[in-house]
Amino acid sequence: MLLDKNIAQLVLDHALSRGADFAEIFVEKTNIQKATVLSQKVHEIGGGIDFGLGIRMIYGHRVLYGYTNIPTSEELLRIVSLISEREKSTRKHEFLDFTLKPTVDIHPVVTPLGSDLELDSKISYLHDIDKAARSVSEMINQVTVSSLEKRQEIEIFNTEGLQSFDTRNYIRIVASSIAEKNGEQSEGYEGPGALAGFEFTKSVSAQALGAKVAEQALIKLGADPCPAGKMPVIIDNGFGGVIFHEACGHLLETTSVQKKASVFWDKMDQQIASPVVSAVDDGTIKNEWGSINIDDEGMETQKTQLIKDGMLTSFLVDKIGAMRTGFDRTGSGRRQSYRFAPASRMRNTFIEAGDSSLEEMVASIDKGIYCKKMGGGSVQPGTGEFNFAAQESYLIENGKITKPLKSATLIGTGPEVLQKISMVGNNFELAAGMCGSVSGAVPTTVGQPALKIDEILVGGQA
Amino acid sequence: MEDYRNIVEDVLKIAKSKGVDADCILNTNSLLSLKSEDQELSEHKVSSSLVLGVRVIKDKRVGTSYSESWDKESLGQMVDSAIGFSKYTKEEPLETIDLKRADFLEGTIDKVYKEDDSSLEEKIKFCLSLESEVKKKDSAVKSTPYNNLSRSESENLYGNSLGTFCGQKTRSFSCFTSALIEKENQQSMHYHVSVGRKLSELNLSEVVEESYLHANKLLGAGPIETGHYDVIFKTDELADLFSCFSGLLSGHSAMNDTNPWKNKVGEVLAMSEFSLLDDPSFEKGFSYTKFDNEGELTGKTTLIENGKLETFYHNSKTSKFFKVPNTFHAARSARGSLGVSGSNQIILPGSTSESELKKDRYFEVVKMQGLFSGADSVSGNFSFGASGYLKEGDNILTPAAGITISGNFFELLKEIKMMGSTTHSNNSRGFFSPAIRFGGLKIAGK
Repeated sequence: MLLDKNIAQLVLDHALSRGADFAEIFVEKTNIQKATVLSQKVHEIGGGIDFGLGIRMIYGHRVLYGYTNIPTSEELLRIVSLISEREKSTRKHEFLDFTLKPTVDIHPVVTPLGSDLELDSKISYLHDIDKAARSVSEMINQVTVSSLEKRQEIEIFNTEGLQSFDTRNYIRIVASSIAEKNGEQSEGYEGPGALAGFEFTKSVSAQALGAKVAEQALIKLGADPCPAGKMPVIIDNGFGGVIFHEACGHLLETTSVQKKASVFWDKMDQQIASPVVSAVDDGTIKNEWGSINIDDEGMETQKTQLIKDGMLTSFLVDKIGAMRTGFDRTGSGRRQSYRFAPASRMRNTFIEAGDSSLEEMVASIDKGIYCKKMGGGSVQPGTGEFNFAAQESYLIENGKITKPLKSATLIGTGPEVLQKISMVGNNFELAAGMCGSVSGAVPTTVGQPALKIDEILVGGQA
Repeated sequence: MEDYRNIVEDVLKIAKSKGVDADCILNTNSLLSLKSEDQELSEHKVSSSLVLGVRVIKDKRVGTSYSESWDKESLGQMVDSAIGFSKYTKEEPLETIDLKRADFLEGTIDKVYKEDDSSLEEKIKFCLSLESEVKKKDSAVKSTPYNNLSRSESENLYGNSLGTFCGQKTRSFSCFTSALIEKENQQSMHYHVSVGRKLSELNLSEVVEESYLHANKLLGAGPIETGHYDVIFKTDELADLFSCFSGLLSGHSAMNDTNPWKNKVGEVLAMSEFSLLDDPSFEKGFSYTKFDNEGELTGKTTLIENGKLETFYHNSKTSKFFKVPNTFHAARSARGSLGVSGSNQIILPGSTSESELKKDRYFEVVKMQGLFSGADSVSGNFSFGASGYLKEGDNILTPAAGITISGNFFELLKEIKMMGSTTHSNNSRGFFSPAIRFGGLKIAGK
């Protein structure tokens, strides 16, 4: 346990004595280790320990929040007094004794950070990726490979009597390569990750990962500029799911909905997407990067059907979002660390598979773009305007993929694009990413099969 | 500062007892953050944090580690971890700790650490007005979904095993608000930021006016015709564009073969009137720092002069690697390893008056989206979502949204048509530039 139960009781009772309706302590201890191979040598190894406590007090729908690194009762009582300095109300609720709520671990780990696995074998794996990338072509002139391992222990106490504890083990391998030909340079990038220990690397072939980042960099050398304007686009599987994440997912978080800063705030049970679209946010997928056992408010995670056959069926709801909107919590309260109050956030979010093949989609387009690999993006929640980068894309002419293109950006608005999805593929895949929002950067998985969008604005240079 | 100095000295003593050279960085931060919703305080956040980071050099190998606990046991574990990590790294003969200074270097000055003479009540009143003042502008303002007032106080200490010690405290305030306007099922949103060293230095009327002005003008805006346009970025957008390609000025990335400009020092890479400086002591700048993260005194550096790349940002290691003078831009957070970073960036004014610069038709970019995802720092290609105004002089011909603006950063610098003669600052006051008219950027619209 990270915090003495008696201290937690003293602090939360003090919070109630200041008139709070609800109070919570989030304790976190996170070990981090990062290793980087650059220029075929170990460039950097480092790590450390994050430790701190966040205290949240809720008055009505208002949130007061404070955090500290010092786990003493004096410091925590000081924080409570400081953040509630202006509150005039007196005790409304009595303290309930804590009941330890055991966490069911649905994401077992074999070799977590801190186990006996030697650093040598981890570094050897990174070198193997480097070698694989360089072996593809002499035009690959730089490769960077990193591993990031994190072991996050959390403990949550609240004035409803909850005491909960969980441990999350994360691993991410990030590989990038630079190819150069006649002074022109281009980059390839992949970043697979999991809620797992180093055993995850057994499922990520060093050879395949190295070759993939090298080929991505090489394909763009000498590529033609991407055409600009509105046209049909196929967004392939895996990280292509960033379109749904940005264009729709953020608008379904009660963080936006409760402020009516989402175009979907009043659209429950209404058709918001093409009938071929069904979408899910699922924290239960075994060892997936965006999975959790419990959320950062201590609620068990769940699978949430967001859209079914184009109809809006659920938002992503945290505690404060439930209080403000009246919808049931979905175990979606997440935060980067103790430095952030929780907010409703995505976990593993994806569009479910359909029945079209990629070949059928390509054959249906006279002139358009095939985006094989997407980069990152962002959305303006108030209006749903989004943009995201196409990292690897190709021109489609007369029903055939003809040539690679330089980078381009796709922009539009969420509601509009959801209505313009006309074909959903059968090649479903997930991909790891980091999502930044009001409660910091959290691991999220995006995913989808290939999608055909009948018309979207492509920003290219041609 | 004295108590924190003792912690750093304890770390260095432990390192010395284990026979390694070391330096240690200690960062503390206290934050007050307020948000308003429906004319009530919706968030009141206070925090205090401390993080320590040690770098050790043993047998020419470097190891780093950090901790947020500072009891003796944790400090010992942190040093042991750093020494343990160093065994696996390659030899780095150029990375050394060799700055020896006898006296403590005090970096705190009045300019960056002004007394906070505002009460909590005054701050709350200010925060609530971030929402109410925007709503007063127009009944079409549906909400101000994003608004915030924050005060941040930080203290940074650097010490090394040769006795060098320096420290600096800073205090800053920032605020922003947004206007979300809705009319006839059309929505538009814009936000604006202001920074200062005291609450009274924040510009409330500017953040309110600018948020409302652009949200209102861009309401109902659609794409313009696809084509090539001359483009002028608002100073904030220009700062964002340059930040996407900031790695081009890094000696650290050049040393690591990840900087496309690695062999370009001495070459002309921009239009002849383009000069770029970095000045941590720039009078109007907000990114003041007296010393870098190797404890060296900072100073003004000319990076690009008359279009020619003069040097990169360097620390002691990269300057030794390239056999050039150190520019004293060493950067290392408590959690990280040695790198480089800039401070106040200043593009020098050119010779063209603003009225001449804005003659004829051009596109003014007031907002960009997808900044880092839409920029490829290796190839120089970029493509961002954008909104702004098609203008002639100061007259708006048509507002535009739902467009993309694309180009290549390397070519962009050479295709500067005109440099304005008046310097403007971005909102966070770390980037200073005249208006610059770029030729023929591709805009995709209808």
